[in-house]
Amino acid sequence: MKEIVKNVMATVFKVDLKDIEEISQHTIKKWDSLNHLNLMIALESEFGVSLEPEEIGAMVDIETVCRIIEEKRAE
Amino acid sequence: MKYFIFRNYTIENLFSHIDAQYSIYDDISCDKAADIYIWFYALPVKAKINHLAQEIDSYLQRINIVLSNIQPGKSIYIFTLEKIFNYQWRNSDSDLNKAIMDFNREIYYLAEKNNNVKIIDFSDFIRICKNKDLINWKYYYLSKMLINPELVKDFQNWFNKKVDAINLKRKKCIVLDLDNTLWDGILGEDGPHGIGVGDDYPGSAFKDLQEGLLEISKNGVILAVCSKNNESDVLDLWEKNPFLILKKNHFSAYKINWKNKSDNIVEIAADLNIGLDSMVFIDDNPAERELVRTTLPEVAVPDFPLQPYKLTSFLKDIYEDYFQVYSLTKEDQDKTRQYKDQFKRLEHKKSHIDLEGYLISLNMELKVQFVNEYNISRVAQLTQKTNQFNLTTRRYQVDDIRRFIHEKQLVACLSVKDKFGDNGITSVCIIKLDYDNKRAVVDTYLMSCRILGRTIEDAFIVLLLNYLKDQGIETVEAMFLATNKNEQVKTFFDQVGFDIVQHSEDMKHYVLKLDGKKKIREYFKIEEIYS
Repeated sequence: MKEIVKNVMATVFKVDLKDIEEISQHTIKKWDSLNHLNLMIALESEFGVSLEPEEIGAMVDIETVCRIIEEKRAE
Repeated sequence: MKYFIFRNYTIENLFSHIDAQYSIYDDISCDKAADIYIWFYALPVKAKINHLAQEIDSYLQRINIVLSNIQPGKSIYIFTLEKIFNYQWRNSDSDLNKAIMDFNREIYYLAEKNNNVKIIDFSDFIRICKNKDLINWKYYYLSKMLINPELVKDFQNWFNKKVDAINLKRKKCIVLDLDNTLWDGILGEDGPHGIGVGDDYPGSAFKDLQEGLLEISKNGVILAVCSKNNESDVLDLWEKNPFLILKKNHFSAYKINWKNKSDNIVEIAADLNIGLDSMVFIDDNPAERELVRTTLPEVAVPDFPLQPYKLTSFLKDIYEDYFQVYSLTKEDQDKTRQYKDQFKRLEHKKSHIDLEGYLISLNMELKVQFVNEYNISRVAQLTQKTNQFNLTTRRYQVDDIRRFIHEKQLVACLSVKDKFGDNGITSVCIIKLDYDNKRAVVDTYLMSCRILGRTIEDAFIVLLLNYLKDQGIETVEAMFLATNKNEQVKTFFDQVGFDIVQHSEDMKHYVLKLDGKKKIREYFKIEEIYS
């Protein structure tokens, strides 16, 4: 799961995330507000889920992203 | 190319493929550093409809302010205003519709009056996306994005085509197969009266296709045939079948034989003097398409519909994908005739072994003039499209040419007439003048391939050098910049008499001292309009 999310992020942000430990809005410069939306659109299509605005707002690092998507898919 | 975009919504994702800066929402301050401006306002989502009508009126005032603020010569592309989402509280409410129509009419009027204003018809995009949601309300509320972010790819493809059309980039020639492509059936088997083209389906669909192709050819696209058939059968058919719309005289070239199609296409390109990258190949046979796709990757090869009833929308797609233009020059409309003249000239040449005698017999008339409002789009187009006889291959937009005129540079063009017809403007020379130092630099010298080989290439530059001499210029510099297409002009300036001052693998820098005037060959009738 985390690997897939990481791949999606790398494609959207156009950066290599391989050796980066902490992936969050604070550490990845390319993770700006516009790319955040691009990331959400990419995640929605990758996992076939529809994210709510509150969830989109909460997804500030890769751990939260994975947790929310897993919850969504469990529904 | 740096763009600056005036907007009232979040659109950064739509234009992520170009180098663009954005205005603050609804703000009209200009970034002076941009090369091209875009006005893309979407109809705001508002419940108070009457306020909306007033707001639309204010867009026009803002556009006029923007127009007066951007540097003269820089272009602005204005998107038409379209309904994406709006309330209608009463069916009789027409103020909003009227405001939108007024706005759109007014911007088209602006484009008519100002050469640097181009209109991008946004309704066209909405039509393309009719099966998808135009608005994704979630993203609208999250980030003020009105256009659904899932449409970004479609938008970018569509926008690129529109910009190509404005910049006069289009293909030149459609190469057509015959059996099951231009008509239903196989000529060799069904005979000249057995093939399907006419008023009943499926023949009716093929007839409509032929009618459409005929219109396309009137809009400056060359038609050619590449078919595996007996040539005599086809010639016979063209003569005899009254239902055919496209006949022999509509095709600028044809190769009807049993050789492989790639070879034939290469020959057609050579005969017409055009590049493979300006050709589109249409064939119903997937094996032929595959062969051309793999052996000639420069040629565009669209898929052909399996069902004849899909041919009409197929033709529309072909036109929009490869041949869309913002507006046509007179030369475009004359193109088919010019290429046919070229064939007559080639045949004529064959009967004149003696080249000098041939050139005399052509009765060539050369007209040299400065660029003006009537020919400026043609001049820009030639810099965009000419690859082979082009010394520096510098591509210019109309705006660039206008800037050269403004800077008092010399932009000259040449029209050529001969006994077979009028070729129109086929050559351009741009010379940067430095009167203070009595120096001039040839920035651009190019010539359309269809008039090459008739010593016109020498005559035009000599006429201009003589003009420069009259103007008191003493030294002329020139350059050759190599590309993978302009090998043939590698030694052009050497032959004219320039001396090489610097020289590397892909560049030559020349200089010429203007001593006296040079003679022009006597078989040219010359008209010079330097004003």
